[in-house]
Amino acid sequence: MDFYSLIFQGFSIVFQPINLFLCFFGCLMGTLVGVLPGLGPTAAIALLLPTTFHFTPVSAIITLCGIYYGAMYGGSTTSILVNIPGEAASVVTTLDGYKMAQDGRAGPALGIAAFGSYIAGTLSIVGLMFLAPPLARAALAFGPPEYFSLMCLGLTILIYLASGSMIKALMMAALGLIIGCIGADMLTNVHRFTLGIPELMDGVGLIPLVMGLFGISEVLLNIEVQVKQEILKGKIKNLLPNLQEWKHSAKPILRGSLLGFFLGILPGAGPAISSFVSYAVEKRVSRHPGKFGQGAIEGVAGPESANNAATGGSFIPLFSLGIPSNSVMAILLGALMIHGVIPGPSLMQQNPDLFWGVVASMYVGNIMLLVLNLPLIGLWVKLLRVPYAILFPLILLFCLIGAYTASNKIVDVYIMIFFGLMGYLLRKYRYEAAPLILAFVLGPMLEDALRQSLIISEGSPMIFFTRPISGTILVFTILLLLSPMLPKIRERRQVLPLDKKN
Amino acid sequence: MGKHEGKKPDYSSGMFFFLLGLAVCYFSWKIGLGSPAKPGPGFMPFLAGLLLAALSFVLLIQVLLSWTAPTWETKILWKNILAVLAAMVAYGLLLDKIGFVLITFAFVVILMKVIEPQSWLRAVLGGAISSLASYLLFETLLKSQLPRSFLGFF
Repeated sequence: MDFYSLIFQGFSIVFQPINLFLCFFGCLMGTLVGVLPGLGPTAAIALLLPTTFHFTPVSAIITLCGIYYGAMYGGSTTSILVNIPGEAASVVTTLDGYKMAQDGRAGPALGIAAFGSYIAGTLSIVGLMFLAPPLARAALAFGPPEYFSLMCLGLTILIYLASGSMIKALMMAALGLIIGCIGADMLTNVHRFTLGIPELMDGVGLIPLVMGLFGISEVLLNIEVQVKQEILKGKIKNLLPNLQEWKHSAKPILRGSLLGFFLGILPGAGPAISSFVSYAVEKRVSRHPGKFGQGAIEGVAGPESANNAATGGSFIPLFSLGIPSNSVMAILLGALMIHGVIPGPSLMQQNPDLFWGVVASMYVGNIMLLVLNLPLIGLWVKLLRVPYAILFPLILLFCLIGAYTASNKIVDVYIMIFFGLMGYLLRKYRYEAAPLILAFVLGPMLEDALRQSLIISEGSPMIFFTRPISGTILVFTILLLLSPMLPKIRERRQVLPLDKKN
Repeated sequence: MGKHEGKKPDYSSGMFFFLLGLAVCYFSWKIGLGSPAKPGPGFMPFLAGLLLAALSFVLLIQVLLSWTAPTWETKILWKNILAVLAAMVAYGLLLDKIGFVLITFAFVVILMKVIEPQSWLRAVLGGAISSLASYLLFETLLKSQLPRSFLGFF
């Protein structure tokens, strides 16, 4: 089938009423979690995953994707209005966005954030559409050694881009691999680390793990101190930026789109890092760098575009290689497998409906989000007035229900509580949860590829180096791992101003 | 202690992960490593455990060589943390026994009263609305199977 008929097919899937509704539902939920601080897209997607069990695979993925890119739109609202980032990718937006709001320019800031997000989101889908299929075709030739090397590279990039200590990030990856090993071994059915708990035979579930590490731990971090909340005053007017503001924003939006898209492809980079890089770039190319931090619209337009473009880019490794690039993609990978879709380079050939339907849904979803975010901004602002003291029991409740309904096993509730406490302690001790989640999901695939490769080579680890593609990737991985030992690069890594939130 | 006080968080967490890594290695070895040509079920966890232990060791060395390590900057309200954890465990223990709606109501009311005390009206109203709304959403609309009470409904 040629390109155009595939796209047409994709749109015909989205315009089925049920999918249109679910796309809207996903975007709405995404905006909601984006607006509400304390519940990120990762936890939200894990939470809603069980409810998609009786949808078709396409409908399920359309819904979950909507939450992801929807959250990027919603996140800017709180950053601009109350100086609290709704999620990590909107942290930099607070710098100039909040300043603009204080100067009475909240409207244009919100407006340019929404329009920039729309433009960047749409451009990145175009990129996804053109880049993913050829990459998948190339990846069809990959065997277990290539996959092993590729996953090692993915984990390494994630660790390299991690904020804070690289050693600690690597430790989290190792811990994730170990947790991924819990349960019956796939080849021999031998029980590993099940501690005599029969429910652990199938391994630790992704949903309780993610909800514990991202949902519960976040609540614990918020209530460990007296809860304070700024109450928002005043009305928002003039949502449409004027011509002057558009002129200032056009280039930042385009630069942000490109930057975000390509950074989004890299594992671990994703929306958060893209927004930081975009801010730094805009500040550097600007003729008035002094204006940044004082309410420069470029400082809102660039990062907000970049984080949306990154969502499009981050789908590429998932759909073309079957390798997730961040914790949200890891859950989507889990969702695909639950729905019986085998992720990997053949996904687009075997399930063209899924890929093209989801891509088409993103075009539609971005338009819906523009509508949701601009005219309805007042609604979201009202939501911000809900005090955290009322919000957090509800977040906990949703996590409890989500963990329970995913499997109908009480054990999963306890597993979630355990990882919630663990996630909290990890944050307190300055460890990041993202490498853990990714390693947890990649672990079984990595183990499978490693064992199969060694069986092929009859025990020689040289197989990873003698095959050209695998060897190149692995050498690059090793260089990347060793690079922080060079003092210059180490300095540069430390200036990357990343927030600990993810 | 002076300078050493600042090292504590990284030192204790590093030590913990170091021992954990070694323990994982030991149990993986007991499960069976297999041979390089035919890796057994313990092969992968053994490598991961070894990696964890080795990295923790490096971290410990770093801590011992440096004098600047992060400390906890804020005073933590452990009461809140414990209350939330206890409430969730109780929720898990009682969900099967007294049914979804009742336990959810109690859970929300208690948390609203304990952590950041709200008025009784607000707490009871919040509990009632959230338990009924989530029941309608998950049970009626999404057809998840939530445990009912001994009364046979809700």
